[in-house]
Amino acid sequence: MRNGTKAFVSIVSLGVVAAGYQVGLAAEVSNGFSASAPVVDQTSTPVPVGTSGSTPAATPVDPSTTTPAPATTPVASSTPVSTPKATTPAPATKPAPNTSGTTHDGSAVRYQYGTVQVSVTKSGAKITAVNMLQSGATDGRQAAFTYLVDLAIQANGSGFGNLSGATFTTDAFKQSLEAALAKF
Amino acid sequence: MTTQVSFSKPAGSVRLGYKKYLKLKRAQDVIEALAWASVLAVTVMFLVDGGLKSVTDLPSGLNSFSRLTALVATDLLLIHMLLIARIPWIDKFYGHDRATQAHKKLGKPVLYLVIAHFSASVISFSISAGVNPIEELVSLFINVPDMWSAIIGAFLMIAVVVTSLTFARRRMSYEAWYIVHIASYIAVLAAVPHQFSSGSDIHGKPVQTIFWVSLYFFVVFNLVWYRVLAPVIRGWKLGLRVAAVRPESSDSVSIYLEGKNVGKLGGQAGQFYMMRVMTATAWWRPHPFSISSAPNDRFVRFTIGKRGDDTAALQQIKPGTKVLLEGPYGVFTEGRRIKEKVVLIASGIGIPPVRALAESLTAKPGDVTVIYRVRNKDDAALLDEVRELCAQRGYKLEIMDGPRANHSSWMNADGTNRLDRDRLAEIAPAMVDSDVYICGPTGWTHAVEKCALRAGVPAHQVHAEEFAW
Repeated sequence: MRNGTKAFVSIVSLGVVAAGYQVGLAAEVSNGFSASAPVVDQTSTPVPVGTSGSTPAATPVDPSTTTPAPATTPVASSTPVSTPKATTPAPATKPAPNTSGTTHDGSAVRYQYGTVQVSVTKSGAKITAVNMLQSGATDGRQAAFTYLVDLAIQANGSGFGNLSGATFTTDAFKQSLEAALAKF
Repeated sequence: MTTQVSFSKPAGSVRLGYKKYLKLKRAQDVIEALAWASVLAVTVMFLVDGGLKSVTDLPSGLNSFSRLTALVATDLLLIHMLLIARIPWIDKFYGHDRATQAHKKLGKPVLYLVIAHFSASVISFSISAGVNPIEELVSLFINVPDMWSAIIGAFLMIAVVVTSLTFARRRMSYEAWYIVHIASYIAVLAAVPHQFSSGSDIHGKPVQTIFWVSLYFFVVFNLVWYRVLAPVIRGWKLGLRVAAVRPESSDSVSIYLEGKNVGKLGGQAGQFYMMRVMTATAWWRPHPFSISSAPNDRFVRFTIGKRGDDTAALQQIKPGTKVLLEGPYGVFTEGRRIKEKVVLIASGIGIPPVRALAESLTAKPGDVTVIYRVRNKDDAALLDEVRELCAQRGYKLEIMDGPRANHSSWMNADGTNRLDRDRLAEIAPAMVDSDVYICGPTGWTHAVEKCALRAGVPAHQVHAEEFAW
């Protein structure tokens, strides 16, 4: 490349990289993975501070230590958001009472980051609830389960895309889910 | 031994001037900028995706590092493959030798990136899972879909680069090295599935998936078409066969090829083809040969020396033998000429492209100077033809025969102790305002190049072709 071109290309490149980095900072990153499924879009990018103004607690939230609540945005909730990293996370369920359907447990799937086991409640042909019986996963991967439960209920089965960044966790989850669904 | 060759007439017009060179540079800049843009694109996609934002601790940092190295490595690997695919649109602007050099240069960085990606992901996962890296590697191999082939691919890649290193290549036969290089395609293929099934930056992301799939298709298309299909289809259409083999000197012969539509072969004087002799044992070993007479519609001629087992065997090739040509390749052509005056310099069996150029250059009498360096005047390939040609066209011919003047000279001893540079200036006084074409063995070619540059010929007027592979 000639020097002039090189200089031009370098400057443009720097600009593009800087812009990409800025966009990346604004991008929603939860524990290193982001979902491609539409359901997550509702919870995406917490509105910058100041819109509600009343909850200063929402400001210093480190994305790595919180488990994003699936249905509500942090801004809308008035309760303090900073849930400590749960070692045995509270089962992320849709608040559907299990009395209306039948429940079957999936197999416990051991994978490289832990063990996953789900139980599925179905009312007729519709999945009404997915409970995590075992949701051991290292290094913040537990956070994926709340998404996965949502995705499974929305897709009414295992036909949803992977959570990128949590591919292995997704696969293990799906495996247990499918085992449970097979029992209906 | 005087072969009756009637010389073809030159085209009659040629575009010259510095603008022609600028046009070439612009085209090169565009190609390089595109290559760079692809690296930039994968990096930016990584950044936009929050690749750096997700770094919070050591494992996630390693994970991000592994993602980025994988993306850049894969992109560079595809460029690396394009560079060796002998694609016309690369060859036209860079020439086969420069593309091959860039290919070789890129080999090691790609490998380092692959190794970085490989180790970073294994270590990152092993920290996360709380096991040692070896255990993690085994677990990845067994448990994660498509990872076993990727791991095998990585080790294959290491094998390919190690065997391509100069020191190893010297000890290996061409055949062994060739087989290892075929293995490199397998290595690349083996690594593809895991990129799409587990790659954090591709899996489940439509934009990235489309980008990478089209990039792969682009490279595969270019490779398959230009390296396999196009030569085979054209070979079948042309049906080239050896028509005659004629000795040119004690250690060189001319091979004449004829076929149905030789004129459709295309190509320019100064270019070369990869020639495959289509016999059961030899078809897989192509050899690069420059055409030694201007392209015409009657025959193709290569003049080859004895430089190894294969070229020695080629001297005995039987008329009627089928031959497949890949090419034409190379930019040692009039396409690079920007000046009215031309100096052609050849040594030994570097004469064929120079001989072809002399025949096809569009030039007035006195515009062309040919310098032919030989050991022995009475045993030099194509010398009679070159003499005849120069006499007919009014070109100046300087034959330099005998031993070297001294160990650093590229000229013969003439009894004086003058510098090569001074002698060259005397032979070709207008050299600074000429295009200088040089073809010969590597060391000699470099010596002439350096000499011409020192004598004041601008670098963009020096065109050299090495016959080192």
